[in-house]
Amino acid sequence: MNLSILGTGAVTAAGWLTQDFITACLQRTMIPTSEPARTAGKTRTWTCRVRGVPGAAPADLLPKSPRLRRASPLTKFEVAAAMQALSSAGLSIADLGGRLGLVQVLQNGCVQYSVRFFAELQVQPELPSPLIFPETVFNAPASHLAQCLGVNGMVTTLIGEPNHLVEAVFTAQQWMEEDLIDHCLIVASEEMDWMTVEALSYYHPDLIASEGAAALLLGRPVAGKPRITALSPLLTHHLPIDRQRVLRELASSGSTGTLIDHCSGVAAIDRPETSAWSGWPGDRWSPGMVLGDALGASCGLQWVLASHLATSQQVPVTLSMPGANASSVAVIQQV
Amino acid sequence: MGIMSPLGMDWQENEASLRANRTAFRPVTLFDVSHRIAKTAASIDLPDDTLFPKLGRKASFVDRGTTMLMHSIRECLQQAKMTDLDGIDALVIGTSAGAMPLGEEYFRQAVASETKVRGQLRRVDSYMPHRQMALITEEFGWQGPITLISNACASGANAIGHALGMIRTGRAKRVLAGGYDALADLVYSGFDSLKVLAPSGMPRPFDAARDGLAIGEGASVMLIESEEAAAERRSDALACLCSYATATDLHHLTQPDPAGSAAVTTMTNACRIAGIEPDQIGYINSHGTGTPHNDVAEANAITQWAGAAAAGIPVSSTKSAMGHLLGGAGAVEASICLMALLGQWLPGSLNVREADPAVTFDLVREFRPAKLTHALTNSFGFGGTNATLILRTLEGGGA
Repeated sequence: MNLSILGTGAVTAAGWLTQDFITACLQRTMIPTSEPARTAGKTRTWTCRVRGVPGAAPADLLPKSPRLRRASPLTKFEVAAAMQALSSAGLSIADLGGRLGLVQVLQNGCVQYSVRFFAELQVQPELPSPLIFPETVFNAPASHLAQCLGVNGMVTTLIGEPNHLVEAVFTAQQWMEEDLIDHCLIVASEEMDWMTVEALSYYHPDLIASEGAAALLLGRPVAGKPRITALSPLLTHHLPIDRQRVLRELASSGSTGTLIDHCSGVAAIDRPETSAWSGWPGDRWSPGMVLGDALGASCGLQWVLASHLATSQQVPVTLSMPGANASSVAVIQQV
Repeated sequence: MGIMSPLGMDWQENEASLRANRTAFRPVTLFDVSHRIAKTAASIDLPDDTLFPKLGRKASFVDRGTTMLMHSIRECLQQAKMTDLDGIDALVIGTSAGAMPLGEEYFRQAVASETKVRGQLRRVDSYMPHRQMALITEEFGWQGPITLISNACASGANAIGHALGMIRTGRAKRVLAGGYDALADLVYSGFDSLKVLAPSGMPRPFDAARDGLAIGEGASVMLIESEEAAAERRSDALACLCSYATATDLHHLTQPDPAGSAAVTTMTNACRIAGIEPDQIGYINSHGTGTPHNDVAEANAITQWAGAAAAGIPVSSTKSAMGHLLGGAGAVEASICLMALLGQWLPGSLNVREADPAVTFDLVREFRPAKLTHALTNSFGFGGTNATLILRTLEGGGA
């Protein structure tokens, strides 16, 4: 792996700015939750909670683009995070010389529009809105982001578990080795709606949903910038016992320094991961416990925090990225 | 290579249908289309095979699209004389809708009840495409990495191209790559709401009076390996995957740039990487959906890219026979190019009465034998993803 993280951006339940996210994690801020009301069907009688991105984007954070007028909240999270990543790298679009790639990582995608469109179909099947359907496709936000940034080359969308971000990083490296790009923006994002929040509550009643976006601007190694010094491929597991074994193997390969895990704060869900990393001697941070489960954005947010800590604390930062089907570990450090 | 489409359950059946200029459109019965403008699609009658014998109870979680993908994987492995996925370094699959019907059912169950509903955890878990892929890998006991690409209607082509890049950069020696999509109410209704489905039920790509596309479903995968990996297995390669190029059309979320500029870029770059000129392309399997906007943009792009050579380049759209397979289209159409190269024939662009004035190429209107060494396939998707793949015969030489 031969990549540096040149810039990062984050939009989370803590706020629209990357610093909001970093501060909330380091101070372990208690972010309030809410209960999303259903927009279709019978009223829910059980509790499920979400920490949503607050309010609208600050006026100067999003570019003025007609593509953003009707775009989903997820698109706006992505664009805001991406603009901050570029800004934090000290680079403008012009600086990137048309050689910027874009990899979007999602788990659920534009669920607000998907649910709205399908709900319309059930109630008024002869009149579903043609404006909504195109915004439901997984790569619609990437298309809007590409238009905002003027990226007309390498753009792709990967879907999967949150740690599919690992494949995005390998894709960025692959495109650079093929000399197709010089920099790559990886954007991992998720938006919440009532259906997804309810879905999470089926996994565990105490799981709190969240939303947002993480952006990483990757490039060839640059002195003074955090570098990805280790990244395991996604190791697949099928049975719980295999998962536990893989997690322990990954934990045994970790470095010293700081650990950023994927824990949610729900003991039953976290047990395999906490067990695997129980011997970790250094500092440990759990952005998921502060924000809630931001699904497709969650691993990206781990990387944003890791990049910040690698720079500010000058220690290697290990990322634990467990998944239901595959798991991985990465190490980021200032070199 | 393995393929399952509305034209057949495997390579042999698909080739027979293409040779016979068969079309596969019929009334939709999987869901209610009584309120839709269009009423037809190209669907598959799934055989009642035991595709997942090792999964036991979990086999009931397998979605329709995953079933199609598994069919094509099994055919591909059989042709490659492999019994399972051992020796394969990666699985790269494109899809646009994944297991959408499971998501639709989750929604219906959710809104009908104010309390939690039995079975919803299984539905929401199985609805996710990566969980569906995990069922396939669990059946084979395989533990390699899976990459799921979702770039709308270019997904299948993107997956094959991504696999080529993995091999060229040494990240993998052997990759199983392809794409799939199955019919789904939300997706069908979505296209219908945009008024892009042919009310006639018959897509007629490049016809001057074409009135839209028809949705299909299916899957195809290819085993792509480096020459060294093929030699290691002493395997007989079928063809060479020469090149892949992709670009992004920023014109509009759903409409292509009328000049087809991104398509010009991908065709130009794919030829450059393959080390050939446009006049060496013996066949183009076009994206050719049958919509007014796509076909004229693509025709303009072919003219601009090939220049004077366009008149001699045979082009057809097999969507005229099997419909638009969405995330599966790019992979299925690349496989049709493979079949055409091996059989030395060209599939037809069916039901054309009068070619659109933008057509400057040799529009192949029905099956014909041909001599060709290179075949090119285009795939364009919502969001502006454009992808071009070039395949050649083993004797064709070059990249």
